[in-house]
Amino acid sequence: MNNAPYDAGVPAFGTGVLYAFVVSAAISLALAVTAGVDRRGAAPRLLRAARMSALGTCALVALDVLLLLYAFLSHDFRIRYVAHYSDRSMPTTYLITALWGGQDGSLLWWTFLLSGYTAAVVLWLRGRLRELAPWVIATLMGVQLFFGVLMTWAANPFAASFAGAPLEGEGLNPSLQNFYMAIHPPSLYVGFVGCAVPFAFAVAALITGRLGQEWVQAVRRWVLFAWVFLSIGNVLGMLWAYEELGWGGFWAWDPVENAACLPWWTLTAFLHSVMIQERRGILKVWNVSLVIVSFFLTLFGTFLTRSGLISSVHSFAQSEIGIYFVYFMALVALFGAGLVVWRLPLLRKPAELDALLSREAMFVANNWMLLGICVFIAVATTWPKVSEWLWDERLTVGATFYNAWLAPVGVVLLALIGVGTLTPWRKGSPKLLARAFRGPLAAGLGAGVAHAVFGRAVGLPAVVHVDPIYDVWTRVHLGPLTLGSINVGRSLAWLDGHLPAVAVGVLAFNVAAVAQEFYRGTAARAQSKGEAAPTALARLVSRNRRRYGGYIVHLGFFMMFMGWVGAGWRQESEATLAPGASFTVGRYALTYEGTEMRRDATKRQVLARVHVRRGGDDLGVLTPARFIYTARPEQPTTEVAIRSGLREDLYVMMATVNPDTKVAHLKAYVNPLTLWIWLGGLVLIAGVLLAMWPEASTVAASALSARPAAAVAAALLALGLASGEARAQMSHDTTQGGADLARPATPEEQRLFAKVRCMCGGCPRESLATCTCGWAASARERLRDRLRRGETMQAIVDAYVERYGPESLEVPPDRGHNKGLYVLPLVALAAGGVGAFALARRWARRRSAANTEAEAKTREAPSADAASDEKRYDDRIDEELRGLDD
Amino acid sequence: MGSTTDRGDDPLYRHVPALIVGGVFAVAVALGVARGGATAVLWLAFASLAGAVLLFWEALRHALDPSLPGDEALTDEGGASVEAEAKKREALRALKDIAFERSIGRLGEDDYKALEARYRAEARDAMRAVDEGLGPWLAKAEAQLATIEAGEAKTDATPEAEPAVSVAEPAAETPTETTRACPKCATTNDPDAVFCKKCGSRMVTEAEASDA
Repeated sequence: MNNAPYDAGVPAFGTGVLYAFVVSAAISLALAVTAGVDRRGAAPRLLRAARMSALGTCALVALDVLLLLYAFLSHDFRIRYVAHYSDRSMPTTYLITALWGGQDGSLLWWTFLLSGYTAAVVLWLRGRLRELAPWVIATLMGVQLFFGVLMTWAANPFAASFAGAPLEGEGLNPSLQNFYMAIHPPSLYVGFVGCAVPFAFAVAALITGRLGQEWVQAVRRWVLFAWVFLSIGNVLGMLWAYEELGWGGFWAWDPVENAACLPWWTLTAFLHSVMIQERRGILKVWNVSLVIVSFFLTLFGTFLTRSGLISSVHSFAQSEIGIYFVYFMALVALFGAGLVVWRLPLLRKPAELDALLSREAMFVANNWMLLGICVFIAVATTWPKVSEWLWDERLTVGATFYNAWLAPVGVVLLALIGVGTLTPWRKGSPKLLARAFRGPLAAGLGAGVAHAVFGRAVGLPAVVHVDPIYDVWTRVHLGPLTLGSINVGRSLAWLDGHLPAVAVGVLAFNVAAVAQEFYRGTAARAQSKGEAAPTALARLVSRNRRRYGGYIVHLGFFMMFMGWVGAGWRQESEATLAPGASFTVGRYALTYEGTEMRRDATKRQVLARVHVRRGGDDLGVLTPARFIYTARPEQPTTEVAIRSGLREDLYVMMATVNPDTKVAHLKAYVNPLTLWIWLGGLVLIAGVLLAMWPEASTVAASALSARPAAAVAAALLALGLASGEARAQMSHDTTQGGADLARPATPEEQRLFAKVRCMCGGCPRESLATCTCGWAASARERLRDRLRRGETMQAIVDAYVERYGPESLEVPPDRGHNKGLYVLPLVALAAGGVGAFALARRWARRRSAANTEAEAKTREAPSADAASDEKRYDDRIDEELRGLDD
Repeated sequence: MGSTTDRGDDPLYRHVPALIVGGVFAVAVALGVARGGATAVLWLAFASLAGAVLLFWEALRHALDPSLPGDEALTDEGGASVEAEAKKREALRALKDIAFERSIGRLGEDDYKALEARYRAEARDAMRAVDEGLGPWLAKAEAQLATIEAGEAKTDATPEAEPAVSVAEPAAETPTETTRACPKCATTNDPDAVFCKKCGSRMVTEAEASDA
């Protein structure tokens, strides 16, 4: 309680500052533009004014955030947002996280991060990039202006409560009161908002027509920064889903998860293709477009989360501001595309490649793959909406669809990484390439064969059974000719079933390729400089940080990929048990010993004691739990218990418990190799750190040093990993009694449940197989009965769809226009592949024509004078080469 | 804050913003300990408000008063020399790449020879173009560098050899041997100044620019 006189005006003052922010952002934008177009010599002065007023604008945003924080700390319930998301009993930590816990506040928080970036960029720009600077500032201010307008018109966090100040706030939703809510959104936001900076530089480069190396070099560090936080944000999202959602997996292909990863693909593509621009000065249009698209996708992601357009587990954030985002997205798209088209004549340069067999060409291929995956995800994410608009048919595209289609594509991408690693820059000769590929190929084949032979024995079989997502024969016509029939679902299931062995082989190939890269580099250096191997390795890496940092990032990615492959071997089991009874999952025997009750100020905790044994080993007790918050007893949260290991995780979750009989319904999963995902995340950060290092050291007094930031990032993730005591949410359970006496599902039942969704109306996008709500339990019971009565699976599914509509299917049926869902991305992928190959080949041809010309020129004997001139320049070249960073 | 911009080069002054920010946070921490978090937050809010006001005042002054100096920055006018610089960098990177690939045995000797000759030629052409672009300043800078190196050689220091790329720094280090008057307001400026430090108007005349 704080009714001191000096805080009387916080709501009004906060709103006032918001208006001031809009005005000052507009003024800064105007000043920056004036500085940009000025041709009368006033530009430096105006630029300084623009920089100052941009910094002032950022200070105003900071002021507003601090005011809101003060309102939270002093429980100023006159403000609707504060009343809605906090109460007097909340600890200070959650009062702070409440800043971004809800809609209006998270927009302010977003703007605040953008201001942080803006301030850092503005300070960093001092004394450099004179021509680009005004336009960079103008663009950032334009984006700020949008958020300012959005807040003042539609989402003012300082808006007053409707019926005056309530005596007590409603409190933060318990599902948001956990450790991950404190770190997952901020780190994802940092990545998302960070995309605005490269966008600003790209716009500046387009407007000024300075599209060469300048902006690319300026922007590389900022892109890496945003990229690493985007990666961490996504990994933390996986960790959150794994530890909090209680369904045993880590990535559900939820629309919001998809939206968060879309810009990651385009930024990754940019980080690769920019290396070609640095070397060859080509792909300028492409790089500029990638940056603009990435920024657009971050807006699109925010829009998806905020508009509630597509149902998702993040739907807590729904509101009416979606339409503003639509306008802004349209503006960004038109503006960006317009600029690119306008500058097209400047951007075009006859592109050349030394050879088709070169790393440059491999990068073109990798861009094609990354973009292909991005398009695939984007199409599948938006398909339900498209279908509703065009055909008035409500659909769902569930995780099953993404997993089935993207797994093979992912393996192709993985293989491309390895091939790219082994292909030299500039020009590969078949003979030397064969030598480079020999070792890794042998390793890959060996691992694949070993896996095929021994895999089953260690519980990780090389071929797994995958249930087809469709089972429809489609006749393929070519004009009047019938070419034959194809069953897309079964072919895909066959492919997916054989993927584990392939993936293991490709992973081994990749790891061997990177290892060989380190080994050969070290050996060459040790030989030529006569250094001992460890010294040679250390010097090699420190002299070529970008190259080897990149390889380490790849290693981290491989480790994460291992975890994803491991998900294919997941085993699960469930049982309803009285105290003392046991059930098994994988190699583990679980004994339910009974429940325990604990109480603290805000909640009751019901913990189940589950004794775990493996073979003869006693592995101790796990305690999955449910928390019942006093504020919201109707939403008990699910707290899973996980026993992590390098080989596999044992994951136990308590669905229900009867308070009288103590009969509990438990679910257990064995998740092979999941730990590798989080470890891979750490390795990935280490690689980025290494790649950023030299750059940071050259930035004197940089306002935003990359190193501490990356270290903070690593610490964040490590913190996330260390907090095994993850406390969690699962909000849709209404059954607390022992009504749900589910038995373990037979494989056939499991397959049936995986085909349809929970249609209780509260659970977004959960498949019936994984949903933990009471409605799902009774629906499962009904379907079981029908199976028992001898009905076919297809008939049961058809009846279910009949009753609940086509959106109750996990995967849209393989017929009519819904074929477009996979045909469109596949066609795009194929067309992109053909296009990329044709382009690369044309560039390589052009180069060989130029080569013969150049050779003819060098054959003319140079005069003595020219020769000495050449000698002088050659010396300088050697000099500069020594100083060139990697 | 008024006269601060004129002292921008003073190393003491350069730490002032950091000191102010540090001081503000120190007070915030002290208040937080003594009076609770809310008071500290209020103090920080006040500090940002003050900061915003000062920054806006400074912005306003610079926007309206033509006699104030602006942001000086090393800049070039785009065009030929930027292109050449980029080409040079590309060629150098290519040379580094192929040397590395050869060292780990992935690029054949013949291919290396051919590529090296090609990229060396490209780098030479680009450097020549850059040199021509730098024109009259290059000779001066090299002479100054030579005197500096000679001086350093006496004091037994190994010169960080990065010849003649950055023109401004050595010139700035040697005190006023030549100066240039601003064509508009006749203020004395450094010989390599692109904009007048007093009135901000362009120092390089059209003739020089097209020379370059």
